[in-house]
Amino acid sequence: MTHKKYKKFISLYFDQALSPSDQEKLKEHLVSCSDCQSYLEKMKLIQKEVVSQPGVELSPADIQEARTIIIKRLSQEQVNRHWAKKENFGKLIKRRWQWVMPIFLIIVGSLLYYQFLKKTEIVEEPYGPSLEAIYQFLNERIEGDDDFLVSFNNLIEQAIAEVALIEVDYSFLTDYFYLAIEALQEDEKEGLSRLLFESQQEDSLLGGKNENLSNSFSFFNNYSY
Amino acid sequence: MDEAEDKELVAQAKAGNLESFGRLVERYHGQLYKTIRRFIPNHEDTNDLMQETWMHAWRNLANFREEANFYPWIYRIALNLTINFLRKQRKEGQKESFEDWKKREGDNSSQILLGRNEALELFEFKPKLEEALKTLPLPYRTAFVLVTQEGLNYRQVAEILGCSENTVAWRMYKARQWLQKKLKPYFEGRQ
Repeated sequence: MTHKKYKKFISLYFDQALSPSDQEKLKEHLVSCSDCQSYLEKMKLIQKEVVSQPGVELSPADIQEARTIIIKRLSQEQVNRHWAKKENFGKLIKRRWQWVMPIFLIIVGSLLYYQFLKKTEIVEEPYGPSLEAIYQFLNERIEGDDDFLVSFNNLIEQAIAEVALIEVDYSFLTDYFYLAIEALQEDEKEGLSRLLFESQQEDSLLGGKNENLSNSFSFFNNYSY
Repeated sequence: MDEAEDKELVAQAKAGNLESFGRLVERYHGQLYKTIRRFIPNHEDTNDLMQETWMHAWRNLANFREEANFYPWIYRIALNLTINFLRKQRKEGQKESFEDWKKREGDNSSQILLGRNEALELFEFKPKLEEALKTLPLPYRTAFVLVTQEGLNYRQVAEILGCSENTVAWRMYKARQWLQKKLKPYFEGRQ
């Protein structure tokens, strides 16, 4: 077993989730390991301080006031909805014949599209790894496995380099993204951060508004330093 | 809290009874506020989020399953809205130039990398810990606050966050690693 394993044990111990047999193993290890002892002491201090933070509580009067405001807003919303419904129903009756033409046009348009235009559409091959595949990969590997960081790291480097070229939505990866960033060296972080920044600048100079790029840059900045 | 009474109040609220819904607000508003306030540093934003939570709950009561417990459901709504709020806020906070950003980061890191003696004089643990907690990535922070400060167990947190218990354990471990890393200057100063 490595020290890392014992540090995980310490975390579980604080959360009362360490099994009795692992508690014994941890005790035995702590007797002979000053590094883990020191880690335990630091964690004790953090734990004590965090647990003792009392939090901000509302007075009963504040709760009553909040209740009154919420109920008032909901009553108003109910009244508005009631009138909106009545109004909509009235309009619906008046305009029922006006639906026919747009529906007819939509049906005819769709038929024309599938008959003529769809045939000429060029089907592009998907570029790079499928995002669903990445997401699935991360979900499967996220649980307790550090080794995946190396491969994920490579993947992210490639993704960042390509993000200026293709439009992909990385926003749903954000919760996992920092795990890869943690594994980067300082100079790699600097390089990637600059690359993202420059790509974003270039995009904005070209008049584009690549939200994905901007999100990736923001996200990278949040977690990389 | 009396779950049977909750169920009755929810059933009445589902039928459109605002008074019963108000009773639910009375019951849980305080607890929810305390939880959300651990993530949000000011009363105004917390209050807005709480109102949004209750409005959202009212509009979606029809989707609430009768056999489920009300509190975990409303708790999840409040927490999701809070996480979305924090994400949005973080995104908006990043509109600055690369050089400015680098400079700011440099200033912060120079504060963090003070020498041992300076650290002893300048660092107080509590505010530093609070700062470090704010920098925790959201998935770590959520799990950490729910377990350590809200006293929930891994199973409960996993249920609220929609992940496995192993993931919660992993996030707790990583949160502690993160805090230790951020508080390194303080710990070194103490030795």
